[in-house]
Amino acid sequence: MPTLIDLLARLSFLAAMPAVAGILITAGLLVVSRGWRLNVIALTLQYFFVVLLLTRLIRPEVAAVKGLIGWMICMVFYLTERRASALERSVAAEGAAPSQRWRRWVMSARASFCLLAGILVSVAAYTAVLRIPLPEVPTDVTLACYLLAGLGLLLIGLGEAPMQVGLGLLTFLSGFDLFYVALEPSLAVTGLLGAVSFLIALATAQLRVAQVVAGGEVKTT
Amino acid sequence: MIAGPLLLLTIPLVMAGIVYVLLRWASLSALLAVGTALALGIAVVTLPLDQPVHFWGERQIAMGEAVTFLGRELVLEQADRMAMAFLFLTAAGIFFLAWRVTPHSLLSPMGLGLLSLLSGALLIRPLIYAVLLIEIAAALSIFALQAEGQPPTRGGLRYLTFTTMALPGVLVTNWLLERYVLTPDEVGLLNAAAALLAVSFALLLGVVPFHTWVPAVAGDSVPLAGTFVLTISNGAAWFLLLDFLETYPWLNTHPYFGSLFSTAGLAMVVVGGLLAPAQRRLGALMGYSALVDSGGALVALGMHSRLGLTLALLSLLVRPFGLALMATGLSGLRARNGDDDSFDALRGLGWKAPWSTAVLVFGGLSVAGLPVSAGFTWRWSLCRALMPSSPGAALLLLLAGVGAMAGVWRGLSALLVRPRPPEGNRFPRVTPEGWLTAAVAIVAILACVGVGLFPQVLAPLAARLAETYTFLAP
Amino acid sequence: MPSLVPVLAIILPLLGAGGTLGLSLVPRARAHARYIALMAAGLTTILVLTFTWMEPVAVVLSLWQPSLLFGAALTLETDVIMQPLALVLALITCSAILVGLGRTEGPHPRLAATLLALLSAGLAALWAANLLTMIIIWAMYDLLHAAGCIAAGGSGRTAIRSLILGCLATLALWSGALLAGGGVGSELWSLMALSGAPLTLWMVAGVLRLWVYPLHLSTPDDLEAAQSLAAPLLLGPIVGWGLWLRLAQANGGSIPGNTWVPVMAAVTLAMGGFLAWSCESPRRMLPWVGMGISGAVLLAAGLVGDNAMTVLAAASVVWALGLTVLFLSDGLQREALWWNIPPLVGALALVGVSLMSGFVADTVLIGGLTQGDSLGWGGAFFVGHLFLVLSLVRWLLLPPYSPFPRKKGDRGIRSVACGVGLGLPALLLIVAGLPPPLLIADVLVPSLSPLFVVPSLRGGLLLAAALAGGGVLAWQERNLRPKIQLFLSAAHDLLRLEWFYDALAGALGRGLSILWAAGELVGGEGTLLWSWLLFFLLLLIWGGR
Repeated sequence: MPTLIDLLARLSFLAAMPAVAGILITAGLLVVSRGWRLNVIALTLQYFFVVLLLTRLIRPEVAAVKGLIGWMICMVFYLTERRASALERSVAAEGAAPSQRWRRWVMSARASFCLLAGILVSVAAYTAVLRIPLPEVPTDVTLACYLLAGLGLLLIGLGEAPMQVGLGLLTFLSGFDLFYVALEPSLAVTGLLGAVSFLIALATAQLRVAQVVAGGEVKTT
Repeated sequence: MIAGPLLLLTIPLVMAGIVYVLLRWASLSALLAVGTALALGIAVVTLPLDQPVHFWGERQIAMGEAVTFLGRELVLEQADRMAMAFLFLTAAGIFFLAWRVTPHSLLSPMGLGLLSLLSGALLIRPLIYAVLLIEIAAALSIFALQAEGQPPTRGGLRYLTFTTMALPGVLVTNWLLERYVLTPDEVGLLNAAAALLAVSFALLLGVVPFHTWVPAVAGDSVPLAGTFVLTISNGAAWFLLLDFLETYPWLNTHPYFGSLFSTAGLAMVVVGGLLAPAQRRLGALMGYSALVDSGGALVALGMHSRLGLTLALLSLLVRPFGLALMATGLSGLRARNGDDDSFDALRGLGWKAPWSTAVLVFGGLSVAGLPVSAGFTWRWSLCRALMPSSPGAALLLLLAGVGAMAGVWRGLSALLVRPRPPEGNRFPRVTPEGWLTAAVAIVAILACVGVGLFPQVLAPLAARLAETYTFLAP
Repeated sequence: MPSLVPVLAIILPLLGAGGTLGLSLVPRARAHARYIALMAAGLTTILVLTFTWMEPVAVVLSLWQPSLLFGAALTLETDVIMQPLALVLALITCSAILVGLGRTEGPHPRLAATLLALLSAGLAALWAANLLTMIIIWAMYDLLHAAGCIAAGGSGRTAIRSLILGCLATLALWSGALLAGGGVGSELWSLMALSGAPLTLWMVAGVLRLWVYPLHLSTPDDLEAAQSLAAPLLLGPIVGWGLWLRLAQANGGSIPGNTWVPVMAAVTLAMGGFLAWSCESPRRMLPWVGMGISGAVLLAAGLVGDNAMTVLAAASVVWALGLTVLFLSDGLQREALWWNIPPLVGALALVGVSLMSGFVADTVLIGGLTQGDSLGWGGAFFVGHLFLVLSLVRWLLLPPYSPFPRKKGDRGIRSVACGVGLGLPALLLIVAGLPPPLLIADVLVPSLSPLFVVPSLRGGLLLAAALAGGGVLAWQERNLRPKIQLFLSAAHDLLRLEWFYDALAGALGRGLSILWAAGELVGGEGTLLWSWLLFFLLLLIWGGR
């Protein structure tokens, strides 16, 4: 049975602009979508494309470990959201207003705004690649880094829901990680950054649970 | 032989687990938490660095012995001792107060865990690992900041967000400086490193315009956990900054050093001083008041002298008094008001919770830097030191203190509204505060006033700590 | 160890406060807690009295080190100019407790303990040897005063106002210390050179402390005379008098600010008198009377030149004793007429009748007013004294709130307590006015004798007209007041300026709302984007420069 490293080696042809395009699409989906299933899928694929690009910069084994951490994070999110939506459905069944479902293939105003903002950030990222190329990394990886960082920040800035902020932080960290491995390939730093990502996911999950328990509000000042 | 750094890292972690298991017995878990923090704080300053100490028969503890962790060295140096003592002893005080006001919260176990991480951040070399440990601590803080049964707070998320954004700057700086060693003619690398460090520490310390996490942490979290973040975690960030300045002396000689710190500090002072009296909730008021205090410390560092450094360190030492008192008062009032600390909701509550109100007032005095409180001692000396060179800055600091106190007065006027006589049985029953809470409040107030009257308890420590840093001339 | 005696005088009331509170927690002993308070106050009074015959002593309470950081130490100095006020403060606290015992009022241990602590703070404030000590002690005094007002049943609003204005006064003191430069915080008062902006700020601090119009917001006009223990709370300005004495001492005997201080003082005299008379509830007029008298004293000190220190020392004592005697006696008694002597003495002292120590200030005032063209101040003096006389008569004719002890068995002890409590301050008012002066020390005596001169005819007529006019109006009070009550209430509310300060607070609140909204915008949703946007804007501005 092929190992993860073998699989990554076979897909290495994607570790260039196709991966960057994949990152753009997945990060864009995270910005636009509020459906948790779509978000988890997008995050999973995003980590896949990031790992592909990582294989060009560091040893495949280390890239695979990073990928595994990322997919574990996706698993944490999946389990948390599944439980949260089950709780919310039970509350809805007791008489609260049913959650809105997509009935028509029409984007809401919010989603349209997020899409436009995402496009703007993507253009800015492309411009940044031309003006401020990152040292020690190829151009396409630079573009991927800027896209992840920019879209991650946009995701954090557009809302305050725990999951949204958590996804944004992880996206941002992925972008930075993609750049930093080229500068500092130390395993200790890799491990610590992985631990940081995992703890962010745990903290996000904890807040999501708190949100559901408290009835779906986010405490404001 | 047991290495000191190993003790400082493992004991809090182990005790965190034990305290978590025993959390349902509030007094026992508090006693363990306070005892652990107190013992470690005392041990780190009293045990000698240069010779082992016999402990329990044949076993020896060598505080100065280095330990390797993830291939990196952890070593306790002279400058680190007092910094770590500050972290541990402040934590002991916060755990003591939490015993009465938030007895079953995750603050004690998570706080011990955070102490372990922050100790590691101060001990580890090279410095880039320190910021990673601080980031991990920020993520774990959320568990302490989140109140049980309450909606998710913005404070923890914002704190985590801004700390995460600070991470890249520091990590890349390390690479830039390593490059500079290889190519010393590329001066642009130094400028880039300085700029990245400045932005990163601006994010970590809550410098305007990256300050919004400070009032959010203070206002939207468990108050004492917020105090833990604003004093201990923030204190670790401060010591990290000083370590950077000590390790890279060229930072200190940068032409914009003084003006950058002074400007950043004044911006915080002005924003905090303007927004504090405008707040409608006590928690946010506490946050903006803390912003003023933090800004004052930056102004002190911007004086670019040993005196300024001493004053900045003194501000770190006295800040926990004010914030911990305010947080204790806030917790007491929120507990009697359904977790609502808006001024409208607090009307008349001061008569039912007099000790929480008193503690809030004294905490407010200290954070605002007004007499008679611990905070006044450092504000007095800072204003005095600033007058010859920057009278405007001294005046702004005074006015910002008044602004912060004005917010406390507004809160107090709401708290002291005389309640109307109850109609029928609809007057809500509020449990009295109890003699134990009153005793804790009295001890805390006396500690704050005591330091305010006898600052020679702390000021020489700040001076001694400043002497361990050599990057500024006396 | 003479150097520790001042410390003992500070600690004794604190111990008494602790003992009173501690004993009050024991249900059986609660009723006896006030005896602890009485003992502490009495011993403190005796101790302070002994300072009259001792050399001045300086005590360092706390050495603020390293001196490079702080530049000062907390120091007390029991100097002669503060001795009268210090003694009077201790005596008044003691008298209040005694009268409370005599009137069979409830125990009120918290109020008694607060007042003992307030006595400690008051003594320390008067003996503060440098600015740093004064700043810190003033802050403690304000907190204790506010706590006392609340414990006495006053409104939170008044307590907070007194806190705010006290804090502003403290800040004015601090700002002056900063502007005066490096070593001023530690410099003894007698060595300080006063000039310019620092002096102005210190005078502002003094003005705020004395409830001078229009900065009179902290006047505790909601204190009822039902509780004799509340008497010391009327004496908030005593620390202000201490500051003015210090300023006069440092200024060579005269008070600084000759251009605007007398103007404010004259307005205060006039307004204080009118507000006292127009007060709807007669039981709340005493603070306004005190405000009027403060204006008179300050005006006299401003006009007398180099003898201001003497005038301040004597007249502030009269102010404190006179107000206290009136507050404690709670109107004239119909039975047992000898109980009416103390309030009559107090009232006569306040209006400056001869042979009372208040005579000193009024003589000086009249002398100053009749020199040159002082029509405005003469008018203020006339109006002020007219209404003061009216108010004092109104107060004296009030039915007592709580009659003196009548019960057999405890009449003896309680009568003695009341008698001593009322009699001592009244006796002091008489004795202190007779030469040789009992309270005014040798340092000030040489200046006293020129003041014991008969005022000129013009001055005498002015005073006589004010007294006579007040007497006539008091006689017609019962007929006159019902007809003009509405006008008086309206005028009282208008001149009290509550509406102005409420409007000011409202405007400030609206301004702050704008700031709050801005803060919520930047700190609300999208804060991250706002932060980075502002950062890049700042970067552009800085880069552009």
